[in-house]
Amino acid sequence: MEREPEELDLLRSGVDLGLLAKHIVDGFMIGMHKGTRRGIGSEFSQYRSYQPGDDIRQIDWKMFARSDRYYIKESETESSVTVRFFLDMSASMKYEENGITRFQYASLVTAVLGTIASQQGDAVALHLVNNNEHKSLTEKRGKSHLNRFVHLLENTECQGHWPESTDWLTDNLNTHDRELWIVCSDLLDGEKRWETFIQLSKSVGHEIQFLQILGHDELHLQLEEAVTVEDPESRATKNIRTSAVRKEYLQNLHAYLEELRSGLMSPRTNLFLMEMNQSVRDALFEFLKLRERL
Amino acid sequence: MILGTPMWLWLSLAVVIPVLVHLWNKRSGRPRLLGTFRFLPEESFASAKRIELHEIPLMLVRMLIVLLLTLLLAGLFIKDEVDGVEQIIISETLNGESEPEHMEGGTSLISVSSAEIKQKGWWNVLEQIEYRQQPEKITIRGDLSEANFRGARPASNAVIDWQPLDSLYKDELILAVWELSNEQYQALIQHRTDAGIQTFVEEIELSEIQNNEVEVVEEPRIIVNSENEEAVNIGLEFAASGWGIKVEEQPIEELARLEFGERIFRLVYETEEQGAEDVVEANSTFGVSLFVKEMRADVQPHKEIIVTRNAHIPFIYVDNNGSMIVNGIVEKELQSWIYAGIAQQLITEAFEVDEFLTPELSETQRDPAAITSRERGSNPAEQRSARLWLTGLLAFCWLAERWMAPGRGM
Repeated sequence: MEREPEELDLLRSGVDLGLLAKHIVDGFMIGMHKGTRRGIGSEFSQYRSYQPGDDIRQIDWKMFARSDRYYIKESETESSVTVRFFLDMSASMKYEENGITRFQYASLVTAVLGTIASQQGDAVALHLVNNNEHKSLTEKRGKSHLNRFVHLLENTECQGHWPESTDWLTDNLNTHDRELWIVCSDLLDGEKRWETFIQLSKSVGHEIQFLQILGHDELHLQLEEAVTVEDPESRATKNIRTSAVRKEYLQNLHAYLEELRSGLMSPRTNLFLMEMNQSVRDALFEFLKLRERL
Repeated sequence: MILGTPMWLWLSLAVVIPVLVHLWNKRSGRPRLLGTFRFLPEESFASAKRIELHEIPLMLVRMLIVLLLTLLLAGLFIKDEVDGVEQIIISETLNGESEPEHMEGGTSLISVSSAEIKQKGWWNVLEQIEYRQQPEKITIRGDLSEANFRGARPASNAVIDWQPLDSLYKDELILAVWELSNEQYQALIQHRTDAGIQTFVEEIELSEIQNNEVEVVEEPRIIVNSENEEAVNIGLEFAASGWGIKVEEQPIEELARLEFGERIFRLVYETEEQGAEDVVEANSTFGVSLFVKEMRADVQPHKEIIVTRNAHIPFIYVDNNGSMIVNGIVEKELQSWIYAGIAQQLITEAFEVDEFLTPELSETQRDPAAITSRERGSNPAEQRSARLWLTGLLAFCWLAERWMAPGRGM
């Protein structure tokens, strides 16, 4: 049997989420986030010829002394991005596998990504959402903000479902700065429920990264032969014989996932599937490699 | 089908285990939360508490596995069928056991020695013989006295017909009775003593033989030819005197004539070209011919030689035809003995005495328990262990179970 990832073990044993996130982040120190605009900054990037209209203060006089030409010294300007995390707080996040709930797993993913973003100097914001409740943390930088960020992830009860309207969000919306929205959810409510949310993001021109977190048992239906299952949101129960329903179940599930993927994927919307028995570190490493940068 | 250790059959109760496993699998525990609930198909749900049809073969296979394991442990043997034995007649004889004699109509005759019966007891003898041959009927002729029955009666499928032969074991067995001329009776009586069996000719009272089935021969007599050589008559008369039978000398055609009531035996002297030839001839068949041939020194010693003279030349021998040959002219004294022997044979034949009823019983060590345990259920020629078959079947069932079980997710 595959050895269980260490951090999932730690997560189950109740280690502080912030510490665990930091531990994971330290494990893969990826490069600092850098913007693409060139301008004034501390770090040298390149020289370019002086153009009329440039600030003469930017002329590198030592270079002029050497070459008798005017050069402007350019640095990479550090861009400022707000990373806004949305964490699904619906009842289906209560799904549990190997002693870890989906919400715990998602919290860890969010905490790790939040820590990375924060270490890069990005502002992070957090929204914990279901149809009844909306807990949020406005965007800010700094260590103390990260602590609040992590603290908010803890002590949360999952219930209800993802809200259909986006009223809760419009008040907090920031249209000035560039933002990256990261949504941690199981995305099992159906594509339609996310339509208004996606439209809203498009209207303000932000990028959305969906992180879909599904259990290994959910993806492969590896349960006992005869088992009673319960829908976490509707509370309906069914007695199933796994062997009898597996084939059709997997067909339905894969059709849905395919549909969801084709519906969500666009130049500014992305979907990444994480399996709950996977190490958070490995999964995020793969994810970040795909994205190349946050 | 025979079981080596039937006590393992208790294990067969374990066949309920697969049933319990199935019932246990039907128990639905605490509901499990499943976020992907809505992807489950609607129609294929059954009550989890019912055994579904497709699981019954699996359950049966598992029960079969348990049963096969039980039989394997119990040491199942497959019994080979013995063809055509419908009836067995077990006869007690005084001498040793002989090979079963098969007769027409599916009847086997088996002789069992008295010693063996004394040693094993009837139940063991019966059980062993029945086990080997599985007849429908067994007839037992022998001494059925209580001493020969020990232990528990075995389960038997055959019909058993008990025919007691008490006379075998009477201390005195009257073999033949004949009347002397003066209304006295004489008998050939077999005595069983601790030293063995001895036979004597004794005078008896008529009252002693009334219940006996032996026929009384009235005034038997032997008539010898008065023209015989003296040596011949001496031999014949010597044999007759041992039985107390009257001998008369008369001029007759034969060498001698034995008159035993209605049965008459004649001893004929014949001469052929190659030499003198005596033929002992009964009015029925009688097996020994006596040939007297000229003394020949060129006869080579061989295994059938009975007597040699001068330590190397065969004197009396049996030739290829089974005839007893006397080499050369017999000396007078020897001639007398030969004729005495012939007469003795004739008289025994005439009284219909079974000469084979007179062996000595040897004293045997008795250890019935050891023999019983050794011989019970151990006849490798007629039974094959079913282990190979059972193991093969078990492997097959196990594969079937493995094949079915993962498919059913159990």
